[in-house]
Amino acid sequence: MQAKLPLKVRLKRMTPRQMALFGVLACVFIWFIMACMVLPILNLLKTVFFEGGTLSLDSFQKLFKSPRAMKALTNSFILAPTLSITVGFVGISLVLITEYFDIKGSAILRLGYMTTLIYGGVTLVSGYKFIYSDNGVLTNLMSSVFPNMDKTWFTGYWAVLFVMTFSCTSNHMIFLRNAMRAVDFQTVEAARNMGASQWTILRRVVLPVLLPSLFAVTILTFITGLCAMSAPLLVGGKEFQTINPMIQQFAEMTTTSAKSLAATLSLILGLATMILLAILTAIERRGHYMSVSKVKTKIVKQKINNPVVNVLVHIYAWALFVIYVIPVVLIVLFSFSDSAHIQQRQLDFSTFSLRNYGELLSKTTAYRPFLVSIIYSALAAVIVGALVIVACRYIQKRRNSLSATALEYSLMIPWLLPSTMIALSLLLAFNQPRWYMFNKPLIATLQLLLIGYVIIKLPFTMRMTKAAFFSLDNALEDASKNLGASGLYTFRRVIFPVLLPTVMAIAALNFNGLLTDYDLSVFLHHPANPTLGVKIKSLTEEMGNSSDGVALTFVYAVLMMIISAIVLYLVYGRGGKDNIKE
Amino acid sequence: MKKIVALILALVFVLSMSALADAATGADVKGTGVELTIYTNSGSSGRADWLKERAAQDGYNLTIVEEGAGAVQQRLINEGEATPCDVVFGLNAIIWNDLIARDILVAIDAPSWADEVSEGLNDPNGYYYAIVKQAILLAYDSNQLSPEEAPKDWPDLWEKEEFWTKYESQIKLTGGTTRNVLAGILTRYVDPDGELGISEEGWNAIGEFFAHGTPVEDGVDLYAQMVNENSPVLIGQMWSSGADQYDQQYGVKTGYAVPEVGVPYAVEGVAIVKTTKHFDEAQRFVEWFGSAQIQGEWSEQFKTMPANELAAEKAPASQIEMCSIPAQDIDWALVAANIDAWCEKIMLEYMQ
Repeated sequence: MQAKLPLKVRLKRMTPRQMALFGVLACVFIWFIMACMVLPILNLLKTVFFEGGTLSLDSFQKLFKSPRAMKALTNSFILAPTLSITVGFVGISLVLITEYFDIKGSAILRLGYMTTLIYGGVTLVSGYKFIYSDNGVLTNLMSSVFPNMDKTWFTGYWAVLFVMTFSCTSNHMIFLRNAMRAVDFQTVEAARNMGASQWTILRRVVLPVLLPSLFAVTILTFITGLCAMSAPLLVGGKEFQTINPMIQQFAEMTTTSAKSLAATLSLILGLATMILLAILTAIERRGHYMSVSKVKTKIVKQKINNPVVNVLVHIYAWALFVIYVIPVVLIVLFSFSDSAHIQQRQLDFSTFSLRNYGELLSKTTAYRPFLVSIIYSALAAVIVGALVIVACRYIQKRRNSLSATALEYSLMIPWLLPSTMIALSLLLAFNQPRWYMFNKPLIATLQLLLIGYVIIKLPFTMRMTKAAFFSLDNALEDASKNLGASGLYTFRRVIFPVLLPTVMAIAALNFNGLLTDYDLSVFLHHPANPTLGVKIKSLTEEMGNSSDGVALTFVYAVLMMIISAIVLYLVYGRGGKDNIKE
Repeated sequence: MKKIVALILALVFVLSMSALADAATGADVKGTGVELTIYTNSGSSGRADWLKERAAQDGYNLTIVEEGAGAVQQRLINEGEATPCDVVFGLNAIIWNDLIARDILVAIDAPSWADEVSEGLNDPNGYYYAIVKQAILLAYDSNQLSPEEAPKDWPDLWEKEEFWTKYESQIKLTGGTTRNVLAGILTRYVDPDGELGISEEGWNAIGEFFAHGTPVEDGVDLYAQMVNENSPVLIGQMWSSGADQYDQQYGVKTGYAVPEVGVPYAVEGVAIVKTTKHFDEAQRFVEWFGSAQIQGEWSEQFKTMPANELAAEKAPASQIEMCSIPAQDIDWALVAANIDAWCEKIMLEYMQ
């Protein structure tokens, strides 16, 4: 295999054209990684930890002495692993319900389970609060049965875990579902013919195929748990606050001392992320969790034999559906109401009007941020996708070489710090001319935010694209090469088309994620072109706000759900669901 | 005939621009169309749109960037000399003093309307001039608390057990209102020998303040808690123009304490950024924007309390009443220099 040859030999064998391409790409990557990530972050760390030229570790002391910080840190580290388990369980069951078992109404169920793909953050948690917190639909229902119950029951660790368990299954619904479609039905059939029970088949045949994707999405869940923000803030109450809101606040302060606290806390989270990543990568490298079949047969949905189990699974599936769908429905309904009723969680149809929609859609200043965010998000999604595909191709071909490992980990750097800190590092680096940025400051330029958006989506894109690359069937590539196709041609005409559905799915997720970004935008946006996230945040800003700011945020949320849904439809809906993996 | 009139008008205009330029004051100072970039936290609910249009009528070409007060402050600090910003307005005295200390603003000659502003609101060194004032109130729901039962000043909240859990304590310390409240409490205990310039007594007071409050439910405002029968909260912080808005929205009547020491005022002002490349136009804009005429229009439109006393009559009666509470004597430069450190300490040690 070519891949085993050292770089020197490979370079010698290249044609001049290949060599030029290789050289240019290498330069682009090295420059990008150094100038946009490594140097700015080092600069940030230098600014906060080496004020006045000497290393200051005061922030560690301050944090260790603070019971609140320690408790928040502990909470984050409790939430991350437990969330990985609960989300893993729910996520796997979603995929089994929609793709493996024969469940009545699975098409509708799938739509319900996919609602987390179109909304998130504060909006989502507010949606859950309409149901479970005091004055919520369910709470009112329960208190009419048990008048003495504590109406503020939905708070603390369990509430956070509950909300996040159901809201963090987006990646499962995309990537785990793709993996499920790669399960070879012939193997399932064979196992059944040999007398294996449904449970055994599930455990011994189906789950092993899901493992690589499960690894990848579990990392994502773990990070989400570690960096939890909206759910603890909104339903954590006094006893369950996590670390990220604290980081955010310290980063928003102007003193170096506060920034060093933010950086210290971020680094603790970042380090934990990297350790987990290294462990899982090592496990992944050791095993070959791949579908062995060469002639794949599409899965036929399995009817559950045991009637009792069948009924229970149906109940479970539809209960999940209700949990997933009601918050969305309530958000849409409340978006027609006014701020006072939204905050009191009182659904009163007499307050319904189209006023908020009218106000929002009639002003150019109100919809311009939509355009800005859509353009930025789309550009960033495309650029990051292209960068990562090239990188993954290199990593795939030169697996286990030092340069490939270095490249892989370099693109994971943004996971070391939360987006607020990444934004800060870019700002501090480029508010003055730097030789590595062609001696031009980037403040108040259009490209600054784009750089930020690209960087922030690198690790996720990298992780998921790599998983897709590694589950590629090598036989395809070998066949193409044997037929005399060049490397580039093989990539363009054979490999890329196979990857395209996954690449598109990732791009859609990135687009939807960036659409509402606030953390990066607030620091990096071009003055005349604020993004949607910035606009929405300013609606609820004190002293300058209109009394109906909260209602307007709901209108924005609904409009964004619509955009996200359209994007997903373009990727998934059109041309049938079967273009994935085939 | 029309042509001649137009010609004469144009001539008069040119003359007034050139010969009388120095003489024109206030809203009569027209812009020249040079693009000004303006940062503000006071741009939402149609304010930015209104200002842009109104200013265009008088020849100003504005690009308005609206963000939260803290975000504007961060932006100016982080952008440094590369900032495209010419003029800032809004914010509050704490942030103004921080920007002055960081050498981001430029002191300007007093605009003609500076004398019309209530005493003590403009920066004594001419870095910023006041346009709107917001009293930072200790507000309560007067349907549930009579003025006799209500707290008279902030220390009542933690010193009198009857108010425990009935008031909101903040979970985010980056907001302007919150910081003004904290400044109003902590500066009562200034002690150069104390930690961060505050006596031990002061820190204990802050500790008690946070210990006995009900933490804010993120995303739900004070008034929603007041009317929610499941929530014990009846008392909290509120800025004066907000009190009217929320009253209308929730059908409550805000009562507020009138402490002997007075209340902090969040002074929204206007200032020019040091690195501006359009200083003359910026100065013309400041002269125009702060004038009694424009501030009066602004006040009528957005129901705020102008700092300009000649414009004050256009403000709603309730605003005039709230903003007649004397201003608490606060050393804003001291607050600006320490507020982040104070908030840091509170977040690490006292917050619930």
